Amino acid sequence: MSPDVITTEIADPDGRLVQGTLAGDMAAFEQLVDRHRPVVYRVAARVVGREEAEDVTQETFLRAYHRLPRFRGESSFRSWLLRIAHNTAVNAARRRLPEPVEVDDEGDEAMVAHAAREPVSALEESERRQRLELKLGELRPEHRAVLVLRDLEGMAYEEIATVTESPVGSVKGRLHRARREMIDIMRANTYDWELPDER
Amino acid sequence: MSADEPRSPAGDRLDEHLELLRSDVPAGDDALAARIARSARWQGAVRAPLKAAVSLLGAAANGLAALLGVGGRAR
Repeated sequence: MSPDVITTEIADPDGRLVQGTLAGDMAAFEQLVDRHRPVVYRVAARVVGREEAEDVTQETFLRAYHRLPRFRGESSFRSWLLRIAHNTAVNAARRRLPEPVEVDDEGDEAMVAHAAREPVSALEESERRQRLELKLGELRPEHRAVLVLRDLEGMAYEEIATVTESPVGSVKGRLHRARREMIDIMRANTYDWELPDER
Repeated sequence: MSADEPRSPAGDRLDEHLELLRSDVPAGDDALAARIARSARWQGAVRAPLKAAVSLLGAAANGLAALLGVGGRAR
C-alpha cells in the first residue's frame, strides 16, 4: 500500500497509525484495531446480535484494511470505520430473518440452574434485557442501526449522518420512526412496558 | 436521548427501558484483535501475488485468443 494517496493532512489522532498501516506497518494496524474494536463490536452486537458480532467485527476491520488506500481523511478514521461497520452489520441483519422465540426444556433447565446462582432481581433484569434485545431485533435493520448509534452509543446526529451516508434530516426522521416502532412493539407487551416502576 | 429533543411520556418510558441495554456493554473476546491482525497479515501477503497471477492468466488467455484468431472483433 502506498501512503501517497492521502492528499490532505489527517487531523485525527489515528492519522499516524493510518499512515503507518499504509506504509506496511502491521503493528500500527493492530493499534487501530485495539483502539476501535470496542465500539465496532458494540455496534455490531446491538445490530446483528452477539452471536454474529465477532464475524461482523472481523469483516469490518479486514474491509477497512484493504480499503485503507482509499481513505482520504475527509472524515475521522472512526467515522469512516463505523460506516463500514454499519454497512456490514445492516447487510448481515438483512440476510437474517427475525428468529422466532423458542422456549425449550433445555432452556428452562438452564434458566433454573441460572436462577439458583443469581438473586431474583438480577435474573429478572437479565430476562428483561434479553426480551428487549429481541424486540430491538424486530425493527428494520436501518432503523435499528440509527437507534443504536443515537440512543445506545450517544453519537451526534452529524456523525450518524456520516456513518450512514444520509442527510441529518433523514437520520432524525429515521430515528423518530425507529423510536415510534419500538414503543409500539413494547406496548404490545403491557407487562414489559409497565416495568420497572408500575406506571 | 439528548436534552435538545422534546420528549413525550412514551419517549421517556422507552429511554428508561433502553437504559437497561446501555448498562450492559457487549465486550467481545480479547483475542479477536489478534485474530483480525493475523487475518489481515495473511490476506495482505496472498492478495498481491494472487492479483498478479490473475492478471498474468488474463494476459495469457488474451494472447492465446489472438494467436488462434478467436475473440471479439474490433468495432
